Amino acid sequence: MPIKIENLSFTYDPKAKFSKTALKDVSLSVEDGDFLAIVGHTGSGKSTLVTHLNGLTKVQSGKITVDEVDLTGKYDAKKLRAKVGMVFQYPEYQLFADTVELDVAFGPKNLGLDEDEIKVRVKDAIEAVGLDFDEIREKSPFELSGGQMRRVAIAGVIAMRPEILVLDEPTAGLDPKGKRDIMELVLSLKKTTKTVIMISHNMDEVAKYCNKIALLKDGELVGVYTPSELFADDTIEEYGLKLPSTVVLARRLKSCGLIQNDCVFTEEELVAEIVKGGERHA
Amino acid sequence: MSFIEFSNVVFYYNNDEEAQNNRPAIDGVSFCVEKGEVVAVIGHNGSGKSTLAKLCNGLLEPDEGEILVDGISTKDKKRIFDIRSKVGIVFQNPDNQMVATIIEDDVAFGPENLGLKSEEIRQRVDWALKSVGMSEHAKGTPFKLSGGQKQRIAIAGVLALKPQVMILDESTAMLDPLSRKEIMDVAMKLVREENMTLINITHFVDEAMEADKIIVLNDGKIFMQGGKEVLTKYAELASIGLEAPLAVRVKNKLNEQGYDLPTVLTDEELVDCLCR
Repeated sequence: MPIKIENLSFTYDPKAKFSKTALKDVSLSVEDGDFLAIVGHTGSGKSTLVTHLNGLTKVQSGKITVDEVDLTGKYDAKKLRAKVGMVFQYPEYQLFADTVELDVAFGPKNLGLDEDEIKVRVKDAIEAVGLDFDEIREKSPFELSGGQMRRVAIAGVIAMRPEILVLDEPTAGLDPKGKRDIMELVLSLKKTTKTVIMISHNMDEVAKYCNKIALLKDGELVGVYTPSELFADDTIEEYGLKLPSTVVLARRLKSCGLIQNDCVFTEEELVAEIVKGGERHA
Repeated sequence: MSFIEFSNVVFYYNNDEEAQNNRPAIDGVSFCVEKGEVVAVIGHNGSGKSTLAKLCNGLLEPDEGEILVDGISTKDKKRIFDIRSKVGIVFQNPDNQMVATIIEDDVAFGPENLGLKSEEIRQRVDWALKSVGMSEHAKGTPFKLSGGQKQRIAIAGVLALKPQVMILDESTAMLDPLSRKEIMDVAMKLVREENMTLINITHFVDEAMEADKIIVLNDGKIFMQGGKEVLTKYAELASIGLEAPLAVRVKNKLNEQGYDLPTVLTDEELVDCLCR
């Protein structure tokens, strides 16, 4: 289910004195199977861009097609939102129901599905996010830990069975293990949803998990890169972001002649490079 | 005497014997913070970090044990405002900390409530905004600022109270890397130039590396405390869901593969060891 964005521009309060242009002439396409990261400083237009994808933000100028549905024309918004699942920042703040089961069922209910189908989907979604359905279904979402709450919130989106999953900073505010667990979860969900789009400030995660990176600055798309392209030089720092910590360390090692390749995005790769470098010297 | 002293502090959110989950949020915690010190508090989500912050300025009262701030017990209701003017907290979400529609009014809110004279308030607001580098925004509205700028205003609001201790309770969690660095630079500058004491509650290991003292919390108890060497304890940190700095992790993996590297903390130290 490919997404095609052509010359998209968006201005908040276009008629007001303090109108703010959030997106300028952005063109971007997302293919099936992509794990796309959207990166850029605060206020660069990342969230405005992704809220266009399920019609929460209406197209002002330019064109977007999602699975050949033209979002500039008339379309079935309900259908679109079932296809494009959106997990907002700190999604646990959006939990509201008395029990986990009811909370996760809210989306599918609004799709007008029948009771049996909803039950199946809720159970599947809760299990897909790595929680024990029977143990957690009757619990209040508010008595869970932060990491569990976030999982339940993601389950609420997964229960709609989206084909594209959009996540806005899915690991913000979590401890290191929580971050890793959520990223592994997203990776496992990608097997069924196929396409994942993720806004992130965490370049370690972006480098490790994504195959494409869209870099935004002041509402403009600077470019779309692979991790090896983007992190090969200091470009990213000019845009207010940091190089992945593995790359920072690898560059130091390379400048001392200890390794040859500094394009490494996981600890394991880095360790392997060092070992290889050591053997060369031996 | 230390500036902040926790002795055997126990705190329950729900102090009810019958309650199902009546595990204390803080369970027998003792530590000291000296004046001018930078202390990092790390621990997994739900380990009690924010509870600890709120205990420091009397937003919460201990069920057992005692907390002294500059010699005053946080249980001393008559002096609670003394304590609050000594210890200021900046929380995680800047949007929840704005009270006024004009930036300088927002910063003035605290000192106004201290009942200070208007010239004194003016001085403090100007100084606080200057300290966080936001003077030119004084007459603007906080709602049009970026997250990092808003968080700097929240810091200015705390600074205007002239606290001796500033607690950052995951104040950089919602910010992009550049804004995060800005906030840390402002905080470290205040430590250097104003001799402020900083308690930084954080999940970011690079921030913890700037601290003089590191307290690791786990399930309401102190798991480890000490200097930077705490961050080199790879296995201990991993066992409670935390992560040692990258250099420490890489060193450990190399040693597993037959290397014999000594303890390192930073990238520089690791590179030096490998060069030898």
